[in-house]
Amino acid sequence: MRVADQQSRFSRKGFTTLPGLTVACVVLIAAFDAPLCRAATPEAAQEERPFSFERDIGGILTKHGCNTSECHGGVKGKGGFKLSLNALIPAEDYRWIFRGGTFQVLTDEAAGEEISRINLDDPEDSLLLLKPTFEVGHEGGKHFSKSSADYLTILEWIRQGAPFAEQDPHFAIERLEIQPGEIVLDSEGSHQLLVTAHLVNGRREDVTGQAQFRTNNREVAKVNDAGLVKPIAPGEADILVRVPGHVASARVGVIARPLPDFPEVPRHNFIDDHVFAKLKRYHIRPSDLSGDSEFLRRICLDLTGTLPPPGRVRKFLADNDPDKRDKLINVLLDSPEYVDYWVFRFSDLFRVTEDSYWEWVRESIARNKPYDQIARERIEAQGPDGPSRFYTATAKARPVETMVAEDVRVFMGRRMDCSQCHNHPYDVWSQNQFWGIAAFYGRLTITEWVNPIDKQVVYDDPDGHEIDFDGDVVLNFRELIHPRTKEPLIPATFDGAAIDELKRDDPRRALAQWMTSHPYFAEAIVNRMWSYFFGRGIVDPVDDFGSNNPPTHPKLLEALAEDFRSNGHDLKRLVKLIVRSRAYQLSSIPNDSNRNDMISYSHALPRPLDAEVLLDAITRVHDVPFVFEHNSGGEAPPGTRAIQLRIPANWHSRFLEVFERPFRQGVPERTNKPKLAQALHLLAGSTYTEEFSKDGRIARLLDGDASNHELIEELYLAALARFPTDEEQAELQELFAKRSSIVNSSFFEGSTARRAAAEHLLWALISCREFVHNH
Amino acid sequence: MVIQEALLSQANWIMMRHGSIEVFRRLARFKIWIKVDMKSVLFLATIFCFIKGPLLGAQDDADRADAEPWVLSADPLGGRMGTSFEVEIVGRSLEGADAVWFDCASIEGKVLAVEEVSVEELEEKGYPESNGIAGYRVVIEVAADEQVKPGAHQFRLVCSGGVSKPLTLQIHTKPDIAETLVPHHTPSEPQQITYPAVVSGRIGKSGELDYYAFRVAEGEALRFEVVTGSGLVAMGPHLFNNPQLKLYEPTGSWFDSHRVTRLECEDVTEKFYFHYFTGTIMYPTFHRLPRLVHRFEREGWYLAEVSSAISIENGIRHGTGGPDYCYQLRITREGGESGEERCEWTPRVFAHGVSHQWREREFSRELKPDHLERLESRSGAARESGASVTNGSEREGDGPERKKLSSVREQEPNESVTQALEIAVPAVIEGTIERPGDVDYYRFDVTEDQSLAFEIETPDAGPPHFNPHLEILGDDEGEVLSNIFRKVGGDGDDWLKSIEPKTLYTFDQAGSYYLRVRDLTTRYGTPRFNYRILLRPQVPHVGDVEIEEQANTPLIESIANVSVNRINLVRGKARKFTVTAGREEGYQGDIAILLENLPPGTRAIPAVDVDQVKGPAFARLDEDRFAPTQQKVNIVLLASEDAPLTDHPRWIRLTAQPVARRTLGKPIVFDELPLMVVR
Repeated sequence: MRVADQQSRFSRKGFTTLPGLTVACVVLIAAFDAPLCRAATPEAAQEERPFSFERDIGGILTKHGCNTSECHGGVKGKGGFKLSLNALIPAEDYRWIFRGGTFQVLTDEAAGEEISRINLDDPEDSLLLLKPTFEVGHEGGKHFSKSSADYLTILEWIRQGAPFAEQDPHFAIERLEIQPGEIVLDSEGSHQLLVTAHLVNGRREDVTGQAQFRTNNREVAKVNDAGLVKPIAPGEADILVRVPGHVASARVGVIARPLPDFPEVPRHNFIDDHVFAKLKRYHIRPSDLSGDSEFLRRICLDLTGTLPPPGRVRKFLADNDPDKRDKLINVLLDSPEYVDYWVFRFSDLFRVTEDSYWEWVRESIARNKPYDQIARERIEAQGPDGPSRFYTATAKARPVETMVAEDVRVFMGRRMDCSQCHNHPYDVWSQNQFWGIAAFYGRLTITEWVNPIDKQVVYDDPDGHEIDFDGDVVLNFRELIHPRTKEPLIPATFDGAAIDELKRDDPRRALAQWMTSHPYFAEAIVNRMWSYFFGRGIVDPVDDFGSNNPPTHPKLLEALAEDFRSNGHDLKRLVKLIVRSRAYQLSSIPNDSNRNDMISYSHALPRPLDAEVLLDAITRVHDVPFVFEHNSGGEAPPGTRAIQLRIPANWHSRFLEVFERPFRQGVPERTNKPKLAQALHLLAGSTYTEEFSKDGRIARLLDGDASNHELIEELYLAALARFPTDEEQAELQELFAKRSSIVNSSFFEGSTARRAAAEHLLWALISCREFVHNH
Repeated sequence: MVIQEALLSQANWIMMRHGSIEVFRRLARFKIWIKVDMKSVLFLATIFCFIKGPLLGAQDDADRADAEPWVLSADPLGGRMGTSFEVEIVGRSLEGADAVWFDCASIEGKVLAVEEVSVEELEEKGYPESNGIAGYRVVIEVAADEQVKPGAHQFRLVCSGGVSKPLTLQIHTKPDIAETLVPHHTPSEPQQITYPAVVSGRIGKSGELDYYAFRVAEGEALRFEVVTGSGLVAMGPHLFNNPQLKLYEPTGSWFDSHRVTRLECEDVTEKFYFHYFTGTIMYPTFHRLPRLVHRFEREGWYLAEVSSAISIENGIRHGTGGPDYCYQLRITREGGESGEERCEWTPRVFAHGVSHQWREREFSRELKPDHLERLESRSGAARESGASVTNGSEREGDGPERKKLSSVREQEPNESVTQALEIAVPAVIEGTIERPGDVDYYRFDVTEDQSLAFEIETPDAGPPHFNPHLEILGDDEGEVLSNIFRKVGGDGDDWLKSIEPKTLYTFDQAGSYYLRVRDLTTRYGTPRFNYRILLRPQVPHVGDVEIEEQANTPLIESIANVSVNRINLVRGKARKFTVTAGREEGYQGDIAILLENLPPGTRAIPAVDVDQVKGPAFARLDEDRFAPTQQKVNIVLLASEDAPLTDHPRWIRLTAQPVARRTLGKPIVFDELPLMVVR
């Protein structure tokens, strides 16, 4: 019997490991937050699980970390010995053990002499045993002794002729379950994890003793080889648990000190249920609801990339309607600025570098096309324009491997890039999976790519991929070839299932259907959309879902994805759902309890404005249209906003370059980290200095005989969407009064003193952190 | 006689004295010549020579072309039938402009004024291509009578430097509205217009937006189109080839009361692709024809916005706006209108087609029921009436039997070989890829070694929108041939693919074969994706014949052959042209080239080229199925020192004549060009 205390802190009392080769049935009655969490000892084994190389030998290698990316599971293996990460491909592991030889990345052939790593004549003399017991030198050190169960298991296997003994599919592990999936510990607590394997035959097996445990944040929590978790410092960490072919994780929260009580937090929608339930579990008190001013600026920037005009700020702040926030959300969602902004966002995501492609994105957003339809149109695009231009961004079609990696990142949130050349070093993606997906693009062809490029037609040639001209006028067709095995590839999904032969003539259509109906699809986009509003994804980075990077709120992610799916992949609805939640509308002002929280959404995190949004905001505060110049001459229509530029690379802007707008040459990665060049630009850049000399908001205010008080107030409203505090107003009034005694400003030559003061204030406002962040 | 017929088919010349009424008329058969006052011309020419003396005095063949009329802009691009209107033309070497030629008798043009435009003014107005050379402004008055055929009409200016290239004028039936001088570049200050109408405007500078406000009734459906003179009028290096058209509703927004909301319209924009010669280089480009159709759900005011997108092609910037960025915005009611109303505007299909034009390999050429006869007429002397080629072999003696060209209309379902419609060669098949993924099957029989030609016409929509993929399948449904032509290009190791309108093939084995038609993509298919496929025996014949000139003026940075559309011969000088004739479907005879109706004092003589060493050609797969062999001949046209100057263009006729078995076949007129002998 395993017992948990009220803080869900397991003691080790009565813990018993289960024999590795015994099938057990674990009855686990574990409820987080329940007074007791107990795991029953397994029922008597019902059925012997037959031996298999994968589970039994692979399990030992996994448990001891032999097949991790740092060891033999790395890209090239270690010391000439290669194992698949986490025993993902047991047949290959068996080959390198049984037949020996040195692994090569680019070919399936072994390098050097093939000398088996086992000795059937003298099993104890097998390298597979001599190395981990350190009988011979081993860079990885000693892993077990000659008396250990693992040693004996391997020895016995070799004695019996080292059979591969393919795993009986009925006994294959279907999924792993870790109990508990989430642990909250105080500084003194500890917790034992239990790992249960759910088998295909419906049975469950306790594999705690066969699993490898690792923490992904050593500064927060540690875990020992048996799965006992202990705290180190307040924060969150994930404990990654590996058994052959499977990875799962449990989240550990280490709290600084328990809250005596958790406030009653009004609920706006199901998002709040998940967010605040976790905050409660983690003893983090959420910040208060944002003030109207804070909310107004945030929602305008998040939905439209546009600062609210001063008149609207005044009106909103004065409005006593309790539903005014919801009403404003609806207005903004239906505004043309919403279309501008989300076209900009998705043009980045889809790497738009051509007009008709941009028009397709614009139409998709303006019509609020279901996102699965958008994705299908993009993935399966053919023809001479629109989304097909994704494939002809350069004169030739993009390389197949680029397209695979990108589409899986964009539409499924996974990074398979490494698997192009080798099995993924940190994740479960295999090279075969990568090329199985790649085969879907294998027929993509474009017609003659002489100028004008937009005459090129993208289609899928039933003849397949063509070999480049090599001097032989005979046209050679071939299917796409696996780079290692040199075998023709057949389009296959992640599980290795080849698509129907009937669908192979139009493989990208089959791919689009598969991708958009896969569970990864909805969770990837809801996570990405979430990140636009909270500054980080539930999985972060947003396109790096994987066993090493579990979600902070798995249930929330699941619920959002399900809601998105069941409501027609409606992006606007999803946006509305997110911004209506109380979690989104929390203040960015932290309290003592949540000051250090960066991942649980206990308060709004200030986010730097994207380069284009920042430039537009500055332009709007100045109220002087920015003139964009085409790289080769010519100007954009006056009043064109940075977010409206269709193809960024065509429009020069020192400001946008300093603030690192992407040119859509790769999957967008905006770091938005401050740079020295940005600080310098802020001091002396033309955007911050020259715009003052033009007639704009300041000139209009001065010409309109606004008082200093009114002028200060108007500039605050324009830049920060709030009134200045009394203190700010008083100090600035004083500044203006002092300036009035100076005839001319030396800094702003030719300006009147009052104008100079106003310009200084405006410069200060657009340079301050409050302005350059959405908070 | 033939010449006269050809001239008649061309056009009327109407040459009027510069700005005045009188000179003398000459009636030449059906044409009316209005002679110019040569004194005026000579006076202007003298002035010009005085100014440009050093430049012209040193001229040779190479820079002679620089003195030919070169039009930079024409504004407006057209006018309404039954009215008179003025057109202002700016260009170089337009001095002495004294006459205008139109392609039909229903339009007359009269030069009202010619004045020099200084370099400074040209540059101030945004003609970056002035190159330090002053220009000219020519104002002409155009009178289009009630009988004129609406559409694009060609016209030329006649100047002392010769005749201009053909320019285009759009004649329409709707009320004209001119863009006002009052700025209307923002949604809050649009120019109000009514419809139906054709609005003549101009994108005067880079980034300019022109807004037009119009009021509609609830449920009204309108069609909006914009044409520009891209490549047809303006001949500067910068093209207005990518006009933009958007419709807005002046909704205002929470952020901006003047903000407009773009309407989601049915976009039936089309593009034309053509080779453009800038005077410096020649390259393929496009001409975009924005077309929007929209049904307005609510009555009220709406806005149309016209602008120009900036683009870079071959390192040349287009779309920035300027004096030659003229456009016409046409607004008509959708549905319930006359045929002309429904007809889509295009400046690239002329109101009067050219009768002698033969296009061998284009999807847009017409495959008429008499196509076989037309082919035979180009095949040589042995192909007199009744002679034909059938089943790939020619019968000597009693003459071959000609099979009738049967016409077959697609019958759905025909999605598989079992549903294939049986056809007899020769035949014209008409069908439609009416929905995405639609596939049409037909079955036909061939005899052993039978040589067939497969030609495709796409009358309503062609590549790159509709890409008809034709495949011939054997009994086992394996591909025997297709109309995809593969050649090596790019950086030398890439197969470039193109779909071709004509494919030749000789069948080794007799039997039944299937013809499968579909769009190259599986995503597109509409009732406009109509095709006409001609299956016929191969007929050796003379294909396209073209006259080109090597562009080797000082302006030319790279040598290129450009099509010839006028010839201005300097007295005492010569110009060399190359005539290229296609030898189609195994044509083995010779092709004689004749230039007729040359003016006195001019001669056409053959010339030879020195063989130039060429690098190895890129590989082309099964080239003989897709491309003809070609025959080239150089012709030098020269005017003697004492050749009389021409005061008006003289139409010369270019004829190719097949010569088979030492017998001349029927002459084939392949071009008619205006020629002038100038100083």
